[in-house]
Amino acid sequence: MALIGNLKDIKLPSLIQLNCMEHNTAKLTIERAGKFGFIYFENGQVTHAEYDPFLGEEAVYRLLSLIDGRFKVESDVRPPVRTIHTNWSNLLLEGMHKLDHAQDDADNIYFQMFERLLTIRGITSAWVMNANGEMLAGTDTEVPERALNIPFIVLQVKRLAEPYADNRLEFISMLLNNARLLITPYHNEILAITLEKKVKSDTVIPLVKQAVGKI
Amino acid sequence: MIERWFQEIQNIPSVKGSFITTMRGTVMGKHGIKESDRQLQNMALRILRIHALMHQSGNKLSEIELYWNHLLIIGKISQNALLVTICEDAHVISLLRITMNVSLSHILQEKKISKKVRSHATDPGHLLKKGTFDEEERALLAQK
Repeated sequence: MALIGNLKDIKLPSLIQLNCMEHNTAKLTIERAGKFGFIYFENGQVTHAEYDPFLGEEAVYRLLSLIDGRFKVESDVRPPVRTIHTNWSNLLLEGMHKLDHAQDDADNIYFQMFERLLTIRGITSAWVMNANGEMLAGTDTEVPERALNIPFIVLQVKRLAEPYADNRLEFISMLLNNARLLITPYHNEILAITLEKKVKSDTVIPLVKQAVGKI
Repeated sequence: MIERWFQEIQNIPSVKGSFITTMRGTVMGKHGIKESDRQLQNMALRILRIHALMHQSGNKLSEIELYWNHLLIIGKISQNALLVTICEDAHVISLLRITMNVSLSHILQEKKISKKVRSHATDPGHLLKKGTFDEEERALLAQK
């Protein structure tokens, strides 16, 4: 029987460790925003990985940076090819080392924030964009930020409040067909968050403020 | 009659006032608001532009809540009308949401209102095609 879950609940390093220590032969499939990654285990060693366009060790390093995504572990599935010859513990250490090194990068600051945001019940995705609407980082790669034209929305809301110009815009909450969209200025950028429709903005805003460091 | 439903909203602590417009931004009624109809129309049109933008991307916007430091503006869109409430404190939001829903549905039963709403019903996309946009707005709209 396949083991199914989400990386929000079990981190990838733990999954790799588990399969290797159990000397498993298995295929681990990870899916996030329609993009698939695969890690193959053979007798407790990581022997092959794919994460488009990466193969081998680089694919594992890229997959280690994922903070959410659905996964499935299927036992007794052998790799189509061997691309990794490094011992699993060294591979994992190197991967974690690379992640640590990236910690000062802006991207990683965003991802740490996303990690905190995704622990809030009802939040399904988050992304940061600049004032022109160009996506800088996001939990999903396929967020339709262009289609939603969020900078235009923010501009309209700022103009709308001109009679009350002494006020600073904090949040925009919009109830749409299937979801709620929360938008907030984030330094010089814009943070957008999608929520399950049933989640009320006033419930989630204090938690979001905490997660993004506004309080 | 619609005064009664505006009053229901006004009775909620920290509410400054509310107004209702057609989908073209024409003010059909207001209560407790100091701003001129022209200012209110401007406010409504900006909300309706956001509604139009969402409509273009296949999303139906039915509620918008705008939070500032000491200000909350809620817009409810239903049956081709927009009800907006301006409030000073977000703590009353749950009660305000319910009251606005009930009030809007009653206000829309008024013959005079429903007639005007029907006559102003329009394709939301028109608001993004026609209207006065400054350079910044035009640039952002052109990105789409």
